[in-house]
Amino acid sequence: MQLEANVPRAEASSSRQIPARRRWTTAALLAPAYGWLTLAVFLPLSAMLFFSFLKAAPFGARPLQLTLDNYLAFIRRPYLVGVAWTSIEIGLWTTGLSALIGLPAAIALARATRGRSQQVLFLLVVLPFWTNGLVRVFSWTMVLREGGVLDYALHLVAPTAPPVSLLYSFPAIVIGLVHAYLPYMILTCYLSAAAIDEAHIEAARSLGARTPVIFAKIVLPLCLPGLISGSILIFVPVIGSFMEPRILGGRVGVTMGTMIEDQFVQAFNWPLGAALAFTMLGVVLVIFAVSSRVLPARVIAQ
Amino acid sequence: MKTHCFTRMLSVGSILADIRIEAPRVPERGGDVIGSAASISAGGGFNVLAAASRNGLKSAFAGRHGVGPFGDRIRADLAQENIAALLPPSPEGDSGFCLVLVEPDGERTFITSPGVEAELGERKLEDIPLEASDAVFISGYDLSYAALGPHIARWTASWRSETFLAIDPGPLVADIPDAVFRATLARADLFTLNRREGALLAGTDDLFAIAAFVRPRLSAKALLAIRDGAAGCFLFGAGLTETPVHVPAPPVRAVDTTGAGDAHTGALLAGLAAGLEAVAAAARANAAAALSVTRRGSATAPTSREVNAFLAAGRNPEAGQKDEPKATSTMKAPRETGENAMTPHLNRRTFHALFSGALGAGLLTIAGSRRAGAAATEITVLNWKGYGTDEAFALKAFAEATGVTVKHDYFNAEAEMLTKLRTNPGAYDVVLINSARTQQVQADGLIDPVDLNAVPNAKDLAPALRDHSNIWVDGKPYGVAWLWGMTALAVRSGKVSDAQSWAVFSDPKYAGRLALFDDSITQVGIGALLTNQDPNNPKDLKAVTTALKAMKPNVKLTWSSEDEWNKAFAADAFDISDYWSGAAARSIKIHKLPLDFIVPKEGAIGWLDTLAVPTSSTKKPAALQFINYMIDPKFYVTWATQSGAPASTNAAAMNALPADDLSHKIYKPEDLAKLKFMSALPDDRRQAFNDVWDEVKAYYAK
Repeated sequence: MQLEANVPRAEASSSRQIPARRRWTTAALLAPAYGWLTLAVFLPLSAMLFFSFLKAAPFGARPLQLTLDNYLAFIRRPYLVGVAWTSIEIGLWTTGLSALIGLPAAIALARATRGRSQQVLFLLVVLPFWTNGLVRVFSWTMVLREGGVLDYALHLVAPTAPPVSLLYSFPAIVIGLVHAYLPYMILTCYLSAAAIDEAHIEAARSLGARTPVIFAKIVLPLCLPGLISGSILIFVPVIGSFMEPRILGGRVGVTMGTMIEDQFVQAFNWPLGAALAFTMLGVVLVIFAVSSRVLPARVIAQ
Repeated sequence: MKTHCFTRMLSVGSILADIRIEAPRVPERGGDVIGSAASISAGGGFNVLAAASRNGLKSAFAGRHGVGPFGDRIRADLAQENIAALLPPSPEGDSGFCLVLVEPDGERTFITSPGVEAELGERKLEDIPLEASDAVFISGYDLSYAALGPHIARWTASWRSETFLAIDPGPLVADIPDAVFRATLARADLFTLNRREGALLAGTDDLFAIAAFVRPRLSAKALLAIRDGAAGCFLFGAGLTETPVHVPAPPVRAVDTTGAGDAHTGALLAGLAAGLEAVAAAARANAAAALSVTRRGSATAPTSREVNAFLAAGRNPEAGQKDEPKATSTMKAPRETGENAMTPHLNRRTFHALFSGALGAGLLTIAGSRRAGAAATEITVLNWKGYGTDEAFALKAFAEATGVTVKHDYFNAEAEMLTKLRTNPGAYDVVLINSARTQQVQADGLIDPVDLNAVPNAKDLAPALRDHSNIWVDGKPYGVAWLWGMTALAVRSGKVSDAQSWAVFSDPKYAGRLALFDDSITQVGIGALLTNQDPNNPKDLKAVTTALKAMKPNVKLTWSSEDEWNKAFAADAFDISDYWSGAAARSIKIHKLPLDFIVPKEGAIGWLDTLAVPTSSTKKPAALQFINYMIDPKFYVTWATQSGAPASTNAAAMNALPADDLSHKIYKPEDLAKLKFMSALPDDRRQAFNDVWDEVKAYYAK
């Protein structure tokens, strides 16, 4: 929309015929994408929004009954608050660890590598995107379980150590999720880090700033946009994830994601599942709102 | 052309008094049990006479009956059915009696004390005043007696050719002396037997084999009827082509099959006597037999009025046949003159109408069935992965036998099956449905009732499972019972030896060693068993929640597929779990996992899986063919012995397993009493169960 509004203004000064043709071209270029988004996102989502206000899923001969009950789920089912908190905790841990690992990697990639070696390193970063999610998760079960790769490696070093089994635990979920989402953080931070003007850092050095000060006062603030957009990209899907918690978490892997999944595939309570999902969407929107206040206007434009 | 025109049926078959006692069990040697109900009535050869008489055929008893309380009882019962006793009471003694002990599951035990009816005495069969318009009914019991059999054979040879001879060899078919068998069969006009008896003769229950064995021994004009339980009967004979005519039976819920054969034979003879064509008479006979199996006792044949009402109610598939108006019309008076219509035959038009009609409705099913059609049909089955229908050997054998190829789609949870059925109409032709869900799926209009006649193997299904109330809605089965089993305890051999109760789930000894099936109905069921409640309807869900929460220190993981279970158990992630019996057999057999399968003292949760046909399926005949193959003993035995399988609902299939098969260890007869079968859950209870399990899972995760 922003783009369409800008085009005529920019062209108004030169000619009166070209804008009409340009407008059509722009519309023709945008139509498939927005048409697809309307079909693929807007329609199913609005159907789900409608379902969330129903008493029972409108299949078969059931009458339609509107209700707000589903949105009171957190009051009616107090245990859901705990589950939601678990999800947020998993989201915070995953995002935090991704930032901790991803930011240094991104800065190093942007500022200390060139040409071929940079390409190879980037390839390694995006590798998780190329593997099937289920394969990735199940391979973690082989690494993390008692007698698995990790346990075996530890006992090679310290034969007397007690057996180590991370599988079916909170850390296992976070490990699996960090593996899956780390590339987002590296890529967004890389964009910010690469944009840092070398002159700023040279200026700081010439004024006597040491490396920690340069990092804290120049690099980190300039990387903040990437850090924040990476965090949003990670946090949002992670609190809705259900595959990693279910397979790696065992008993502790009960999250909003698995709860919503249960409502759809186990209880066939689509309305409740939809309501839970939209409640979580509300939480996500609040997070967006907060982050848009924190971010400078420049970051949003970027 | 010879015609049959008989107006009276004579029977020489022995009539005894049946003393029927319903007892909780057969007493052990030297013991005594108290019977709950007892009755004395005429039995044996009486049932066929009563069936014929009730269906409008004048009947007479030509055997001996004694003086005494049993003879009196028999005469009174004969008189009540308007059956004439041709001989005067024999003064030498009383009629014999048969003590029938009926156990609660319907099993019957007999002691027979013969009386005057077993001796020839002064009776000479030749003295029986036979008329040209008589039909004589002879049973295999009469023919198998050493003295009486040859006597009867000689007697039949002396008749005038008009006399109609009907023979039902009965279960003693193999005991009839060969000479007697040959002589009487050559003379017979109607030979009627059930498929099992046919198998005793031919050595196989294949219809063609039975017919190939019997028909050369019959005269060309004779009619052969093979009764096939719920599938109805198959007719072979003069005027009918080489292809047997299948006359399907109306679907009913069988409670007692005693006397069904007699009702069939009596009604068939009555129909023929009334001038009906063979197929129409057989349709009435099927209806009469169907009504009789809905009643307890032996002489349970319905009257012609009841048969008419039953047929008029439209429950007989034959009733809709436009070319067979006689099947629905009321009984006509026996004709006085012989006409072609009297001969049991089918003309070409009727035959084709029947044949195509039956084929169109998917009703014509002949054992050893030929290819369903030249066109390649592909059906899609919706099932759990690795659950029988996708066995490679089975798909190959089925495609070779029928030309139908089978594709699969899978679900990982029962509710996912529902979601798939609801959201993909027309995509599936056969769907696996746990009988506990059948009524829910039926209420949503997603599945069709199954015509059990089109599934010939359904006749061998254990009635308790085939007729389970979970599957039947409004008198129709919405699925064919396929497999049953239970969710009980699986524990690691050697490591857990003291598990006799579900309480082991919260035993501190096994902290962190428990895996639970991620399914609300199963878990709430276990909680209910632990708190002495009905797993299908626990009143105190708080107690269930508490019992489940108490397992928290032990719970290591929840599992949702057999594959996941095997991988985790093999990796030593847990020692104790609730598990499916069939999956346990596979884990032991295929994956060589060291586990013991135990039915806890509180009971196990039984389940019954059915194969159903979605309403939206466009290939229903092929779907029913596939279902029929799935309950075939041949398929089951191969599946069970190669891979391990849950228990088949087909009793014949279970019996066909090798004696050392693992199934005999897992499905122990003594555990059956401990099973609590899952039943249909109303939506609100299902939701309540789900809420309990979600709450418990959230508690586990904390």
